[in-house]
Amino acid sequence: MYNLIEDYLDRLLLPMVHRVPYHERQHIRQEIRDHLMERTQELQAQGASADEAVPLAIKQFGQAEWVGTLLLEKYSPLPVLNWWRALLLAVVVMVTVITLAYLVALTHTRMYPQQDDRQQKVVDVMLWTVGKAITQGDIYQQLWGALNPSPAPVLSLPPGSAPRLPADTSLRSVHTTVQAEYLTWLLKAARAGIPLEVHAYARRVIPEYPLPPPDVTLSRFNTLGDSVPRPTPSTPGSVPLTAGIFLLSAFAAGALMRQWRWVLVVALVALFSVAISSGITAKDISRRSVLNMALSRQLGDTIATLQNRVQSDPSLLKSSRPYIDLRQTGVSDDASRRQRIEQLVQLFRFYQRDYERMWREWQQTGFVGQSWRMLWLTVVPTWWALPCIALATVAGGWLGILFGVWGWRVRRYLALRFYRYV
Amino acid sequence: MTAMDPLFKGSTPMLILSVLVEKPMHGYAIAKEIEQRSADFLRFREGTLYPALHEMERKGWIAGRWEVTDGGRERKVYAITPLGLRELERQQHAWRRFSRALEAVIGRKSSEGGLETCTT
Repeated sequence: MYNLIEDYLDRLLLPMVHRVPYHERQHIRQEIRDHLMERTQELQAQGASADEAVPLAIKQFGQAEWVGTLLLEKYSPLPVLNWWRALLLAVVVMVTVITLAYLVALTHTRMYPQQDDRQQKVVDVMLWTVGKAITQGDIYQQLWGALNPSPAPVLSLPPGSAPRLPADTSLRSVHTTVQAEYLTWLLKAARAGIPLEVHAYARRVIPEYPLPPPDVTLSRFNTLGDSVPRPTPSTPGSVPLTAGIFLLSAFAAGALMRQWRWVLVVALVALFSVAISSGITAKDISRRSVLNMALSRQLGDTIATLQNRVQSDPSLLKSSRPYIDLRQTGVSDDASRRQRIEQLVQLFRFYQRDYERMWREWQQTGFVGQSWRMLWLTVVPTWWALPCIALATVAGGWLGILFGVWGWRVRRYLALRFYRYV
Repeated sequence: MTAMDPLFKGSTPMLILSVLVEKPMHGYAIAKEIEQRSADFLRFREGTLYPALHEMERKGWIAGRWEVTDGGRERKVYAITPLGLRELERQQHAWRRFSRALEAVIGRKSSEGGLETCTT
């Protein structure tokens, strides 16, 4: 009959398997066995047979699953904060955030910061307007020296900046011509055999050019903070992925800690990690702005060199055939060609002032403001991003808590059903 | 005992500590002692006793140690700790205050001839 007691104890301890250490389970088993045997003996002393006493003692003790659950709750109550649980949670959250941030970055690889090629296009058009003289003598060396070893081959704009100013009214027609005709001229210039190394912009878009491609994709590892993924300005299409980061983090927190306050803490940690990443990116972009300014001034020097050369040598234009056909844009003779060169210089200077103004504004925003702008661009690309993220956090937390609290009960129920039929 | 269940549940630690304050006992003996002292009025659903004992042990109110009985069986015997003594005093004090307050309310109603209609 005592097999009944052992069978009862097996069922009582089943929920504690993998949750309560073996030696503690054995102690519980021994203690309750002792209780049941003593009760059985007492019932027998009162006149019950052995066949009656054991089931009655077990019945009086209570249903095995119920007592087992009560005991388990004493051994694994709602978790309290301890160092290993906090550490595990932090690791899970950070891994989730970083992994998903990488996924976001990889699936949304994009050139960033937003590039600006206005100045470079003007330099190219200037070169093509001056013509073949640029490949002769010391001017070629000057141009090559100015354009080739540029440390920042691409000009970029500060993140989230306002649109660039339109050109002055007097320059509007030149602006339109340069922007609209550039690609057509580029093809013609390529056919005309202009050396690529003296292009300001074309060398970036022509794959044969020997320099490495410009490093402007911040979604890859970069020079500063190699272990931190770089946020890219989001689009509404990336909101589900951002919300997914928060959902998984909240789920992990709910499942591990089973308390809403921890879900909130983890959501804040996720936000904080994106904020740190944004701060590092902001710092990197600020550092890059110095290079951008340098390149912009370098291009300005190139323009000035050409302008001086044209002014100081009146015969230059006569001996130098332009690489592009300017007649379609109203340039019919050397006088108007010279005038066009002056217009291009003015246009370049306008672009340069506007460009530098935008970077000055970025620098004046300060580190906190820059980080905030990056965070906003990364997390909140559209008005419905915040509600979406909040909803994902609540849903993830709720599912996690449900999983943490009820998951083992469901498994226990299934195990018990299975156990009974074995 | 059904009507008293919530009160009983809430005071289980105090009852256990009150019994253990006299001498160390094992689980079954604790249940029996409480039944005996209350003239069978307070009867444990036995399965609830051990979760309560283990919780109190985790809180440090009681300490358990294994002893070997005359029959050669191992048995866990619980003894009250200094922390448990302080907790017992605290719970007894709270219970007595509650009891006096309850009695004051119930006693007045009884002396006035039973429950009165609420007139608010």
